[in-house]
Amino acid sequence: MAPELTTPELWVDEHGAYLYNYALAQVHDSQSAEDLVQETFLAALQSRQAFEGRSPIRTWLTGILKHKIIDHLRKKYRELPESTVTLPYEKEGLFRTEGDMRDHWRAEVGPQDWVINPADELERKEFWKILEGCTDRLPPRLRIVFTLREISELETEEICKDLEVTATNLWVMLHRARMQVRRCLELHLNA
Amino acid sequence: MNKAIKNFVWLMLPPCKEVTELISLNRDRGISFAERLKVRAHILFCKFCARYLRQMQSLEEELHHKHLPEDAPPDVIKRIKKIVRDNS
Ligand SMILES: [Zn+2]
Repeated sequence: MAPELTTPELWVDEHGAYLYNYALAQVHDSQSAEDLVQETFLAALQSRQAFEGRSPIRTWLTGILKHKIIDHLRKKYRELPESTVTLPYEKEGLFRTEGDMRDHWRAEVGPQDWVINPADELERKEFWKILEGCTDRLPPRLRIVFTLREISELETEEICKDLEVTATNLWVMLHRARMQVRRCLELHLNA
Repeated sequence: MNKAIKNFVWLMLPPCKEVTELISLNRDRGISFAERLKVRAHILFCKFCARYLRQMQSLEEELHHKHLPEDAPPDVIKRIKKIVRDNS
């Protein structure tokens, strides 16, 4: 469909739900997701003339929304206190702490095969539900860092600049978040 | 492989904890050729780290492809539509 033949209301019909879910996967709060999608459509209406239909409408709208999500997460990150909590996987002690096999997985808690396979179309929905639960349970700052890197897919340099954290600090946070999300997934997928 | 050689190679390799860290580093800023070799060799010996790597890869792939649902609560869509109509 040529862009001039679509009306903004049709944009909502065709892309509204997609954009809402895209936002929800990153901001984890339905009210903020709705607000961000609303702002996206308003911004799109204003810059409609500039959009020349060189890319699909969905790509254009997603691009606007992506910026708004990153802005939103950056602001939220700055409002949150630094988190010093020990994560569940750290409490569990996944690695041995002494002996010849120090820093190797403890056999009882080493990675196990997952029962639910995300590559399977039918199991994917279940996988996402569990994944969402696991990222939701991360301490708020870690969740934002994990989301910006893994879902918004920002480069690490960009995240460091946006959140004013050092590369080392960011990397430590990312690794802890990944370790925790993986362990949480494993415990719930195989439950 | 001879057991003594196997043990020797294993001792030269980083422990599991370090391997998981290298896997993260590789994703964020890349690791050296030597480090990559160490991870690969470790994984030949260690079924836990082999699974860890596989799981992190499939997790990333899922997050990257975002098979998002194409439906949203009707009242949300209705509210957004109203705003768009009022501002068109
Ligand atoms: Zn290992």
